[in-house]
Amino acid sequence: MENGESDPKAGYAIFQVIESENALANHRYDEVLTLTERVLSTLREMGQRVFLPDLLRCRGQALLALERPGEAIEVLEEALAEAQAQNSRRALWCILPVLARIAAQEGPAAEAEALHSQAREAIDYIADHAGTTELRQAFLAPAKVRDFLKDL
Amino acid sequence: MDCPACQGSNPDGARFCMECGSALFASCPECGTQLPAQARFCFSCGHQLGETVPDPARARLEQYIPKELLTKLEAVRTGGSQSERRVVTMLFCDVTGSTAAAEKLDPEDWAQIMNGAFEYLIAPVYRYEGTLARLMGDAILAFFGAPIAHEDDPQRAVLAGLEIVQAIGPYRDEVKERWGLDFQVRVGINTGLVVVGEVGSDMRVEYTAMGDAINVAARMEQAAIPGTVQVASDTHRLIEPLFDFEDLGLTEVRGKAEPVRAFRVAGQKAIPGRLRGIEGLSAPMIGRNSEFGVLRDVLVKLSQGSGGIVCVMGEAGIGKTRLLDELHAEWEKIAGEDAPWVVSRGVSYDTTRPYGLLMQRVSQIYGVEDDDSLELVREKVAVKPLGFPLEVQSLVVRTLEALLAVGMDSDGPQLQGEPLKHELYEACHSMWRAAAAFAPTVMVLDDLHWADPASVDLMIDVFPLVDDVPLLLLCSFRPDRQSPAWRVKQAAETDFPHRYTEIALNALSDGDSDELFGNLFKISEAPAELRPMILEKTEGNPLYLEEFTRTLIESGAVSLDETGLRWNSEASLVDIHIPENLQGLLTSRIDRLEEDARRTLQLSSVIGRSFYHRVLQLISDSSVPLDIHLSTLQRAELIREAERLPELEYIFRHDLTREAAYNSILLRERREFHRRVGEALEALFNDRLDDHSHLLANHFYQANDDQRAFKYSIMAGDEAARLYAHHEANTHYTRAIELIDRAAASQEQHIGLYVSRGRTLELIGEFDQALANYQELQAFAQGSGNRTVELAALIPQATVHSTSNARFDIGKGRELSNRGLILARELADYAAEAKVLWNLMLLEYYEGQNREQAISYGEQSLAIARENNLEEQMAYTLNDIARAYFVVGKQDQAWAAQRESNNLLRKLGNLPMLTDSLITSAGGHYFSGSFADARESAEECLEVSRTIGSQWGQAVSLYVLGAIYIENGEISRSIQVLQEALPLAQQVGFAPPVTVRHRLALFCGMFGDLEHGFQMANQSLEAGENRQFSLGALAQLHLSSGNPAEADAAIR
Repeated sequence: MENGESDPKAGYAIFQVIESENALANHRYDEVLTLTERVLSTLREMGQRVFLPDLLRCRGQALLALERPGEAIEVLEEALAEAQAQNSRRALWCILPVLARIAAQEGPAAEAEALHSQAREAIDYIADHAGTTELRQAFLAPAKVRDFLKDL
Repeated sequence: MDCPACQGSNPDGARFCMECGSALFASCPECGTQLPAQARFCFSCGHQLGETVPDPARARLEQYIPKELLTKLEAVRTGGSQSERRVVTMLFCDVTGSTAAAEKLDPEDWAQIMNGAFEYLIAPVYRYEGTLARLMGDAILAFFGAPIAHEDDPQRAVLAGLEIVQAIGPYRDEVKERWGLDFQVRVGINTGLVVVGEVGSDMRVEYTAMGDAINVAARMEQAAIPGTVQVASDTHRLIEPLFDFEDLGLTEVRGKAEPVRAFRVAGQKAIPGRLRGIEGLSAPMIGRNSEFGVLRDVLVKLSQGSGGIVCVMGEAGIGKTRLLDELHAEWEKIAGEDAPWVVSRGVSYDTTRPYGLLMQRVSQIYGVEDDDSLELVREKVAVKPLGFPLEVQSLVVRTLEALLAVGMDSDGPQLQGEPLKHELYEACHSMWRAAAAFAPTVMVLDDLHWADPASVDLMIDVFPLVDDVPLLLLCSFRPDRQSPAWRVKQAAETDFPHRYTEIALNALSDGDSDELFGNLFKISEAPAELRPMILEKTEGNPLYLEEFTRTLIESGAVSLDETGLRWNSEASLVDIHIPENLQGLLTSRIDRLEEDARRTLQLSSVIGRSFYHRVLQLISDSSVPLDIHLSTLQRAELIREAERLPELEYIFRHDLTREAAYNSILLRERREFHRRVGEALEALFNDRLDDHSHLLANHFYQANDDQRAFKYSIMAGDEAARLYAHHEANTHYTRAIELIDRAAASQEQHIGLYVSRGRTLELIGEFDQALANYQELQAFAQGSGNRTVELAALIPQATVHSTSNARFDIGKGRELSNRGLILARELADYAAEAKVLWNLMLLEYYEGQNREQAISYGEQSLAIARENNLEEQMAYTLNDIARAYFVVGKQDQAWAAQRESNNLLRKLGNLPMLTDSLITSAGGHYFSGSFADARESAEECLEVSRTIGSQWGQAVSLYVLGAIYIENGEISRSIQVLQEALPLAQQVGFAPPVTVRHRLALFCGMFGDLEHGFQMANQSLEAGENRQFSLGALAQLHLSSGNPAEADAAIR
């Protein structure tokens, strides 16, 4: 496994997720698209799926920011499907709130509610497995979690 | 008066024969009255002295020496004693100016003077239970510690020395007056390891000591100023708290390279310090809460007016005195600082002095010194007011004066015998009743196992007082059923059960010992094995724990400064032996045994801490009634039965006792006994030699039997390796390697040993040592020009540099592999060729530049392995080629290779490599997003790694599990396993590009534990781990903190 992560072709996927997150946070959306396109292609070629949901989510969020909602939803739904297939709560709790927000604005209320509910479930599970009160509070403290929970 | 021994005529008043030195008088052991040597009953108390007329010499000695020592001395005298290694304190004393004096006098006069002088030289030696080893013309040599040891031999020797120089004074005056001669005596003392026993030839045999330490003792005596006692530093450091010393600096000793520091003994300290404990180190009392609680309740009842008797029993050093000290402090809290707490303490060399315990207490009260004249005693007793009612005071004063006057030259009629005893008992009753009636009183009788029988009887007689007045008799002693103190316990529990409390102090629990060690001995930078080693050796005894630590300090292994204790990096755990203070304590218990039982104990000690009856039977002399001796040893609580079935087995209660018994055996005897034990094991366990190979290896090694030691060391190493006991395997292989030349090992054995040892070193993560081991083999190959051995040395070095560990080095790996490949092909060694190609595959794979080349090497290796049916190599190559297939996206081929490898490794039972295969599987599943399957493989890997003690396997499986748990959203579990992985990974050099710290930092960042995350990221930067990833982790943390600009700065 340590070798998989060190493979240049795989491009140290876990850190390319961070690069994508960083470009996104700094509003360099085209950079996100370029980066994710390249890495997604490499990972698929290698048959590696573990960071696909993250990269797809970043890509979807960049598309959203670039006001390409159709493509964004498609990519985000692919991210969701991949995360669900892997049963990766780590990926799910980041994807679901994004999709839930889109559904709340544009989609049917029931879908939004279902997504909210799933997101809430993932967040609760993670918070319940934080081990200590301090870590639980730290996990629930960031704005993106607080805002999401407030919306419920 | 005529001497009953030699019939020589002696003047009136003589106490010893001036012809043969025999005692002319005996002493009643019951009341101390002086009697004619041939008396059969005491004319004072009627005590029967024996059926036969006592040997006057023996009668004389019995005044001073316990029976068992006397028996030992007789054994020595009659040649029934074995030579032994012992720590002995040696005392030399000579008469200065004797040569000149002898010139001036007729030889007969001089002989008379010297006979008189010897009395003063010898008596103190006997009083302190030393052994007069040699009587020279004008000097004596005495041993303290042989043939019987005491736990305080150095102290006894110095006391004897002081008594000699003091007691000789009046005799000097007498000689000066009668012959006009002035002479003086001087004493030199040293303590050290010597061989004691009979030396000499058929013509003459003498019991003496041989060794460097005795020369030092002689030098101390020669250098001493007349009238003084001089000790060497080895004695000084054992008794420093008890005496005042003058440092004399360094003294040259002939034959010794280094000078010896010498000290003049100025006298006993007015307030002696404690021999136990270490200055600057202290800890609260640990593990005695329940006992303390019970005794506290007794004290509370006492303060409310209820008396009692308490016996606190426990082995030496178990914490009796410490418990009493804590109780004293508690008593002051309960009853006030001035509440009576009166302490008397048994003294080891006063066990035969009638009423010694009482006299010691009285002397303390009145300030009476041993050498005070009768007049002075009277003055002191009369002056000191007791504060008792008048009638009590006059009785007490009269009786005590009589007691203190016993043995002095009385100027008038004194109470003696039964009347004295009667008055003494009455006085004590009155005194203690009055004291307790005045205020609740605690009478502490510490170290009561050393009390004389008369004092114990007196004490039992005052038991009824506890029903009437608030008096608590608080006794502490060792659980020795033979000591008079045991009668205290028996009488109290039989006659005063309603007032009696018994506390048996046992060894501290493992947890308490660990806590005590942690409190007392915070030794920084100590090797991890130190703490368990000391705890195992000291077995819950606080004294043993302290003494071991003192030894560590004195040996320089540990230094003590204002910052605490610090381990000396050059020190070795192997060099830590029994502390000298404990050696005496342990040996003294062994010395109380009869000679045959003692010999059985020594033989048992050679077998080991636990020993089979059958083995002992085989190595013992068949005429020895073994079961009787084993029974004696069990009664003495030195050994116990460990198992009855399937094999009768005994075990030493303390390993230190075994070590002390073993240490006393001469080296040449040890070798012979070890050989006997080895042969007995071979004979008895012929069908299970593998199981006993570690014992056989050790016994034959100790016996200097190189061939058998070599054979069994290899067997033991292989057996340990089979059980994944890598450290033990390494020890056995190392020993076998040490014997390679002496055992004339074959080339196959030579290669096999180095390869096996290298493998065990790799498995415990000692890659540098593994490389050094292979280089040693390579040097041998080059020296002998043997190409096969050279290839055998090259390949494992190449493997170390080609695999994932702290010594991974592409350059070295490639260079060694290429050399190996040429050599393997030259020698047509297919196994070696397949292995080298496998190494080359790994190097290409890890380098990452040309994965296809890696696969090509792997496929070549696999083809050779398949063709030659090299199953292990096939498994290795398949496992690693699977990884290469994974990263180039050849999933199907990867899984096929991985499964085949896994099956082969299971079939071969190669668990270390199976862990690697399981990790490949876990990694494959993880990257495929199949976390449940990944988890299953990683958890199996962890389990197998723990079973076989593979730190690498544990580190990597925990690392993978950390990643899997985080995908499941189990933050706490993930962080926990990664934290567990961190030290293991550091130890074995498991350093993937994304390190454990990177992962921890990332996950902490993802889930909000920013403080911990930043700490990890910064540590990874400081540690020089992959910079790109460390900065990536920092960027993640900044993003989670809501600082995208800082994240950007970090990552770009």
